[in-house]
Amino acid sequence: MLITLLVSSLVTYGLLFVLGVAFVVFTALAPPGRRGPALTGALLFCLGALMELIRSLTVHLAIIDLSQDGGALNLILNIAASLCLLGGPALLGAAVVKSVREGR
Amino acid sequence: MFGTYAAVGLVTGLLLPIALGVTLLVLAGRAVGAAGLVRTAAILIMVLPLLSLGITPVAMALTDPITALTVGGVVRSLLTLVTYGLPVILLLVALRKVSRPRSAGTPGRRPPYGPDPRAPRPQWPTPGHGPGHGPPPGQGGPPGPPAQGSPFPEGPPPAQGPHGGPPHRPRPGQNPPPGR
Repeated sequence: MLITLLVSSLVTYGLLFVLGVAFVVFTALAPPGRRGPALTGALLFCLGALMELIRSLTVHLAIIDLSQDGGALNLILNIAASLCLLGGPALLGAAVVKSVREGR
Repeated sequence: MFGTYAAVGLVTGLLLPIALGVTLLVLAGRAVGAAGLVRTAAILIMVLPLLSLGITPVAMALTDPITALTVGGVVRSLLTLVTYGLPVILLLVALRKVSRPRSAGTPGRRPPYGPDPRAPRPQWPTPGHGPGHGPPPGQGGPPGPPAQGSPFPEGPPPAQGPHGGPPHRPRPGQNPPPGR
């Protein structure tokens, strides 16, 4: 059970991190005037995937004790990772709308 | 402690995705040309966390706790991958679709003057082989009427010329004609 959960978390958040890196590269190759919030969203997405990967690994490997201070750390990492993972698409949507407005 | 976990899980797993989905739905109305992609991403972000929250209790009800936690964890991981990954891919496609006309890269070559070489060639009429197949030559007409005379009346006889003048006299200084 532990190995299965560990592998699934590693694959999931690892793939999300790879997607975030591709997102950063794709956005960084755009012209300088057109990066805008997309690059910020890409970096946030990368950071969120990394934080969630670290949180998942630390919880599954029992590196932190959830009943002690590790519980607060787990919660903080969970909230921060969710905010970053959701903030990336939000900023990307804002970049789409900004690009539409500039195109008019 | 468990109350805190539940509250945090509810906020990060349900309320924040719904808030982001609503935001993206609002933005989709302004994203002219890529509204479908943005709207699809918004719906995915709003709907998939609901499945992710409900998968473990359903598995708990169906199987033993150990298997349910394992299966629930794996399925939840895959749902997380789809929940966050697919909307990002859709939004990247939307961004590329929207910004393509203005960031098309280096300008292309100026088209050469003259007609477009890629245009289809005009269809010239091909020369014919041999004479044309016209109607046969026509037959000769009927004989004409007999010729008429001159339309002018016959004129008077020719006028008489003047009589001859006196014999020619030699000019002075010339020799007289030889005598007989």
